[in-house]
Amino acid sequence: MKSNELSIKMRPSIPAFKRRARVLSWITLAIMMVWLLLPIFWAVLSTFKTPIEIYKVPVKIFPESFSFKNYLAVLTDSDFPRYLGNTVFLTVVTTVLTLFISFWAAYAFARMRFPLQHVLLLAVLVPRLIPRISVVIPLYRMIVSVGLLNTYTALLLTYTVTSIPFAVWILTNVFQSIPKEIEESAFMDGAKLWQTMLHIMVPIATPGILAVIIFTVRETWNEFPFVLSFTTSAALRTLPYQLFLFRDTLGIENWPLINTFAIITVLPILIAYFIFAKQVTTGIIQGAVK
Amino acid sequence: MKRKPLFNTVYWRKRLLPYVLVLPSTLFVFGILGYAIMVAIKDSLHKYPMLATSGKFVGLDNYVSLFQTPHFQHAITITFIFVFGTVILGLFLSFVLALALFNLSEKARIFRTITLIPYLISGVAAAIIWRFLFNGDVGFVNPLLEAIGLKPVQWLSKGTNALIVVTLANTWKIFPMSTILLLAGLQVIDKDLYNAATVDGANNRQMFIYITIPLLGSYLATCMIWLTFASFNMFSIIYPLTGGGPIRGTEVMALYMYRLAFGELNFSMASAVMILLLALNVIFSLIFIRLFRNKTV
Repeated sequence: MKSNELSIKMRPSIPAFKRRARVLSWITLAIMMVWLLLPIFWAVLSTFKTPIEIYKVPVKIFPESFSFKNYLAVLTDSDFPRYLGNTVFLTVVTTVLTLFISFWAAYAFARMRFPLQHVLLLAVLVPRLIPRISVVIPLYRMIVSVGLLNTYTALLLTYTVTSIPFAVWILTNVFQSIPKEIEESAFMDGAKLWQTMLHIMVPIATPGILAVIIFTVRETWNEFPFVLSFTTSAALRTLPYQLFLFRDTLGIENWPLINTFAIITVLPILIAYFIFAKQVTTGIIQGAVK
Repeated sequence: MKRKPLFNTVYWRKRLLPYVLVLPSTLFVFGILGYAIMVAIKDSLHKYPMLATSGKFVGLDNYVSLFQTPHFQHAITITFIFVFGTVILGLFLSFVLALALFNLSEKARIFRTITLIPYLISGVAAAIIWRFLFNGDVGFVNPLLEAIGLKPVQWLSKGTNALIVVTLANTWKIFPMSTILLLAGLQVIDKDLYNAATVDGANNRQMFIYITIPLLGSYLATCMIWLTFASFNMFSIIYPLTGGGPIRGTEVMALYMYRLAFGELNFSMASAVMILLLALNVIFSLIFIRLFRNKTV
């Protein structure tokens, strides 16, 4: 994009340095890629090995034959659809709820003026600083006292409530950056609020909406402390929770199988990421800089 | 407002609609999270018989005895080593990687995409992957050490070593985020500054020290805040990786709190730890804001 032309502009007279900087950058990048990917590669390679194979001395890096037995074993496990189903269900419902609630709130915060506005905005935004783990204990006590332990409701409520602050934050910023005139002309033409939203605001705010979806999906799909604390029943188990238990329940750890399960649980997120890579990166920058 | 009928359009749109739109989020968030914090404050000031929901008010006793507990002091030490280690290492790695990605610009696009992978996978999966990597029998690290003539190390069965592994895994998981942030910072630096400096005869090192670093200041600060917060409250990696062990060697505050609550069923003490954790979060952010307010451009 931009940076190509500027690097030409930037150092017009010192090509020797430029080449050195470039070589250095490539070397750095290579080392960093090893650091980033080696842990994953080592786990992925083991998913094609047999339990005996991985204990061999000296260590064999590549599997003797690429067998997909472990993947088949995980995917055909009779409980797997339930874990996957739970994770998908919680992720979808949380994301939809978060988006719906935050969208309207953000619109009101960005566009309307009303008494107590700032107090209410703070009430939503300040909890963004509260990390999930730090509210596990009081939430657990509240959930116990209303009898919601081991329910989807408890998980959906706590997931949504911890996702809303960030979503309101992002969307309020997005709406503030859209010129008012655009919707005002729609209102003049007699459009209803929801029509204006659906046909005008949603399309313009799409990058922000995508950022919210990406963040909420990532958070919910990977969520661990809440599901660990608020559920004990196997019927409610999510993929990360099952992965955690999987590690423990086997006497001798069947590493190829555990790693296969781990890889399968992260694959959907990674595939989605590679499809929306650009938006994810923009969304992350938006979310963190502000 | 002119007329009073409740569903007069103007009245409705101007006065009531904002609240209808805003209240679900506000009530929801403040009602649940705000209430949770109040519950925790109340719990931390009471002493409950095990599993009971009411007990007697003991003032700050829980906090006092907490600070006298060696396990808690230990947890604070571990937390600070863990956070400090992650911030230093994470900041360094992010900076180096961001510079490399920036210098190579579009040629390195795919690597920019790869950079975020650890950040996107779940903490549990990351923990499993790192446990496997450093495992004594099936891991990759020990054979590697032996191959270059070093002795194998008992990574996960010795406290100090396990703390190193946990810090590395945590850095690996969260530094992608700060890398992407710094990269964004590098991209918004005005290129004319470099041109002007070149005209004035500045060399690259000078440009780096006098232009890049100062202008990146606020981004470096954001990264530091972010890395601190993320590690300070890290649970999802450490718990599945070591469970706080061996012998509490990796038991940071969040894990100590969790053990108090769900292991020892001591919710009032656990709530006290939680309030301290929250307070430390607030103090940290205030310090950071103070420190960096003047330095940001």
